[in-house]
Amino acid sequence: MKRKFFIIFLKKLNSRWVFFQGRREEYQELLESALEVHKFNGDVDDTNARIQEKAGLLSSQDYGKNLTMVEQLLRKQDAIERDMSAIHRKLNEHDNEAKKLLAKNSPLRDTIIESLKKLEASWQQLAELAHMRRLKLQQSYNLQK
Amino acid sequence: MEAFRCRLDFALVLAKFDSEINEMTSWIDEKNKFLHNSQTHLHDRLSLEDKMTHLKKHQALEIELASNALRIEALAIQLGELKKTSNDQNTMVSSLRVVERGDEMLQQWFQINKNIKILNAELKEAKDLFDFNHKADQILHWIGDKQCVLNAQELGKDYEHAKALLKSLIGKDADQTVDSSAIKELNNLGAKLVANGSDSDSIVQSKLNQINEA
Repeated sequence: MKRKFFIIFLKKLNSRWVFFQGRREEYQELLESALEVHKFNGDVDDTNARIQEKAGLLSSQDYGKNLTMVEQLLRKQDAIERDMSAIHRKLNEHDNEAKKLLAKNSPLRDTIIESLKKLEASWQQLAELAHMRRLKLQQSYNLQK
Repeated sequence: MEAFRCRLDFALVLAKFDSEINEMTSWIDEKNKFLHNSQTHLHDRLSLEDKMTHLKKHQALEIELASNALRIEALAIQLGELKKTSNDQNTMVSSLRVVERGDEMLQQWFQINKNIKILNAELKEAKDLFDFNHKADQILHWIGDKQCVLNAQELGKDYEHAKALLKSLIGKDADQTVDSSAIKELNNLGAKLVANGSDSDSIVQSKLNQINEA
């Protein structure tokens, strides 16, 4: 009878160990998925920083004081808009990546959605700024011509 | 005159050696008494828990003996030299007495080491239980600690933080004190104790409570 405690103890310890290992593996998988989400959020932050950089350039109130200057500014505007196309392609990549992560039922879903919303808002603002600046540069060009 | 000086020097060396022998003899004597007491108690049908208490004291004594081994070795060498030298001296009687005491001391030393081995064998079962108890404690504490980490389900503030968390879970620096081999070792030890019909209700029962509460 006295040996029963050893047997019960070892049995319980073994099942505790199996349970613990299972939970550890689950947590490991969760952490690995979280790592992917953190990477995604970091990449989106980088794109956002690029958008802000372009927004800064497009916020200039300088529309040119003579035709040469306006033409120069229009060429600069073209270059920025080409950069914006590249950023837009990046936006599509982020969108696809977000879809994959959300489909995988990744942790930190809220942060994925929040990152996308932030990115979308920044992009809209940038697009608007680009549109407005092109209009004003065009007006300035027509005026100086 | 020189011969007299030589005899004086020899007498001084002899006196110092004699004092060291006496000191060591009384130290061994004291430890021997403790061992003798221990042996007497072991025949009193002690429970395994009481044997473990003895074992702890016994292990402390083993460490003390080991730390004195070098000193004994040095005294044995000195004794050998004295045996050679005393043949050439006129102080035969006194040096012979010291040599005699030195031999007795060495005999006692060998005896105490022999006794401790005998006692060790008698306490082997207690040692297994002691190890079982220690390993089980270690495993339960380890699982408890890690369980807290798992319960927290921390996913990291950012990429670097999450990476550090993952590294501490499965990386090279992760705490791997307890793994499947530690569990296997404990199972083997437990099986051995069960096979020997070990009686240790209170200890294993307290472990059972611990595992139930965890």
